[in-house]
Amino acid sequence: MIDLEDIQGLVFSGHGHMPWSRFIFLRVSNAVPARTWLQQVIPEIVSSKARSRSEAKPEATAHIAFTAEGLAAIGLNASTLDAFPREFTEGMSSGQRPRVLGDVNANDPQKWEFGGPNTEPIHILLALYAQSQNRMTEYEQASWYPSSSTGFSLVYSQNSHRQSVNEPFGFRDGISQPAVIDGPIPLPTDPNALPPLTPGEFVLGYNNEYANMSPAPAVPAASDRNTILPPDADDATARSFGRNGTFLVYRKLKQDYDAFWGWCEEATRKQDGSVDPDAKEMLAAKLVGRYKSGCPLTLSPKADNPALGASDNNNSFKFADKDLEGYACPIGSHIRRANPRDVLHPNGPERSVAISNRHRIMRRGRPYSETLESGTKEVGLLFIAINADLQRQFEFIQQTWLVNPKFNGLFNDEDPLVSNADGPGTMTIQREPVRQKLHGLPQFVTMRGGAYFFLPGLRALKYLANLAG
Amino acid sequence: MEQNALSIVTYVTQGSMPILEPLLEVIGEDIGGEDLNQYIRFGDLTTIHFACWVVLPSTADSSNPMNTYRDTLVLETNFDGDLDTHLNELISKGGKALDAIYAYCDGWPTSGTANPGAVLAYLKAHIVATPAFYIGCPRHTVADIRNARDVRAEIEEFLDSEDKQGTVASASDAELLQRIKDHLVKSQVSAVPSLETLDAQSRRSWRNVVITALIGAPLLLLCSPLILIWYVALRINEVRDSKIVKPPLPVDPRLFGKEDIWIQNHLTTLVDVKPGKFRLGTLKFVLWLVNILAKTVFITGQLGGIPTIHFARWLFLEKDRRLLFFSNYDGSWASYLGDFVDKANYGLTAVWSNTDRFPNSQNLAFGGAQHIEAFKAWSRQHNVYAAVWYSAYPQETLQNLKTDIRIRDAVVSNSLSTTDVRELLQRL
Repeated sequence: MIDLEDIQGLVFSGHGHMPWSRFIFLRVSNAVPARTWLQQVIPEIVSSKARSRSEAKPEATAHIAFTAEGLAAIGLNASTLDAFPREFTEGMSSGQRPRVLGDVNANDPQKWEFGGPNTEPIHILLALYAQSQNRMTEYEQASWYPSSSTGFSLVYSQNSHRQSVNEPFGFRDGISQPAVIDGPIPLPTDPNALPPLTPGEFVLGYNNEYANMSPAPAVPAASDRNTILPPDADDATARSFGRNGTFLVYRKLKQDYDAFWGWCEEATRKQDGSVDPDAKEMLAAKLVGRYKSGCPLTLSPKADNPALGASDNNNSFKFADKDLEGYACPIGSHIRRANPRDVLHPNGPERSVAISNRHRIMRRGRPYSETLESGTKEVGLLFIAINADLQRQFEFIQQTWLVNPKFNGLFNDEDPLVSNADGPGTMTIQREPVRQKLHGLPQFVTMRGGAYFFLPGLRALKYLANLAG
Repeated sequence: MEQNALSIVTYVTQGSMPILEPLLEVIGEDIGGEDLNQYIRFGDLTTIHFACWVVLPSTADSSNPMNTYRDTLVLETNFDGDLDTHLNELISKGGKALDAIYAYCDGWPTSGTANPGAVLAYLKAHIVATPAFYIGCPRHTVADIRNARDVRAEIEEFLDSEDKQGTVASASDAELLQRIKDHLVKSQVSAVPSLETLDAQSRRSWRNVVITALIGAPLLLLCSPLILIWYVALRINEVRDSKIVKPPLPVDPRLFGKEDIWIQNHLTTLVDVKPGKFRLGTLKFVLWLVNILAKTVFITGQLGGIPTIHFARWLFLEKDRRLLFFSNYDGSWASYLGDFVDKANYGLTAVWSNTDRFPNSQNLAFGGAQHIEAFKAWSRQHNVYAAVWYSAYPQETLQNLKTDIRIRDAVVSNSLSTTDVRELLQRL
């Protein structure tokens, strides 16, 4: 069984009933008051157990995650930190990572608002969720609400108010989430649903899709003065710091609404130059793989079915039997790349699902909308993903499926929705008798800043708060 | 025409590394020879699919002088046709590079490429044999692959322009094919069909599966007493090996700067063979088997299920004490290693479980690479940085070039059925 009580609630719930959220990025200036602060915030964190269907929905919750620098700043010993994977310790913006993630040109970390080489280092992410604006204001009055006197400097803050189930381009979002065995959410009973995944894909210290334990860094038992942490699976002289923790990816993605819909309109103008609204919607749906309603093209190839889009069955489909060639949902469309389900060349359907299952993420994104100093309005998505292995899950999806122009046998098409930072792209729409190829796709989504975080288990947070020295 | 593997292994003259390494960097950074690299323009060499120059760094092991090795330069090429033609092309078109580089290697003739005969003899004398060699798209030369690529690009462009005029959607399959054919006749590109089509290759593979099974099964029975003895010895070895815990090795940070720049990547893995005749014998037998399968069964673009390898080889160095692996593959390192684990972990484990520090294995082919974290860590620690790496078609994945070949061969064929045409058009 999973120790749900020790796992932060965000892992197993997107807190959908709490539309108000705030993401506060902090830098630790003094470890001692920061640990005291941590002690005060921990009781505000709702666990995954509390997010079970049987429990009352909380009015608000806090979550806390650390960058690698942040773990060092609060006092985690260097050898434990070394046991964390390279992607995490190097961070999202350094080394070859921008190349891996497609963070080039307009997405270059040099241009980020936060998390890049030109901005103040990030140590801690404090994520606040509230059911109402008042409840969020109450958080601001709390004694622990970060201020410079609590041992921090405030690096960046982001508000989000989710007002609909749609992301800023207008498509229903957050549909495809993996089901997890032994989690607090009942497993789907629909036979067409994708199979549930092992908990080790989303939490450290449990069996994963390779039937291995997802590796969880340990600390020397002596440093765990009050024996807070769970024991380490292999080493009696150590306690597990990583167990019940996981990795959180945060990316602020600016979405250019006018560019997206404008391009779809231009690309579908009739011969006489007039706008073709149906063709425009259809093209947009082809790029995404779903209609705006959420209805997948594979299940309704000719026209939208809004009832299906809004129903619980909007994710109960695979590609191989109905849509192998991509005539409905193009091979290069966003949802077919982000989760190829049962069509991963050159494998058969069952093998494909098994392999796809090794590259899934739990998405916890929220939309944002803000007015810039220049007066222009900016909208976008605060992309948040949870996974136990950054390289094998988030980075793999981004690099091998989304940004890769050769995905599944394509020749030169990147993800039409979120990629093409390296220049105008192409999109192949499979069609009879022969494909249609669209050229000159601009970049619609721009990376504005982000970081990799470790989202510790609650006991690991208490361990950090109790560190000596 | 067949594809072949060339490995030239030379010791770097003592003290020369500070000069040789920057030189290789200059060549590697400007592989096309357009800027600072005044030594070789790889693109001029018509026989090469992939090539690499890699320095295997010296190691000093005070506890075991047997494990002390000198800096070693290895040239890897995957080439078309016969060896002499390839080497002569290398000498005539890459002579400046050979002179510059091998001047820092033991035994290089003082006259250099001014005396091509001496250089040819030198290179040949330093060839190390390839016990196992895999080709992703056998019997297709560089020229053939490039031709298929150009034909497909021409067809795509034609279809785009037809599409603009709105004359595609209403066309029947047969009409469309005829228009494509007519266009190609008028175009600059002339389609040259494959010597062996991919379908013929696939039939050959199946035939070889049957032959291998027919020969293999009785052999296996015949040797079963021997296999039993070997198996007992293997298990004793595996139990003993599982108790050896060694600290991790450092990872060369330069590796990351060279990866994922193109669609394709290169991997060099250098490991020590586990000591003793048993492991070496087992390894040699496994590689012999891999080689036979690669030549007969794995000829359709998948090595044990991995569909992204253009060329791969294993070879022994230092009197069979070290095993070197080269591969030229599509996609990222992480996805390649993932493929290893997802699709080919038994084969891999059967080879590398006989080498040092490999994650613990059972029954030769089990365990080992199934431990993805440990396997990735092992792979990184034995990954050697290659300063120079060249691909003749860096934008083509194996899947792409096979599609290109199919399309080209189909377009020039006069015996397509209706379903063939449909399938062909779908691939675009």
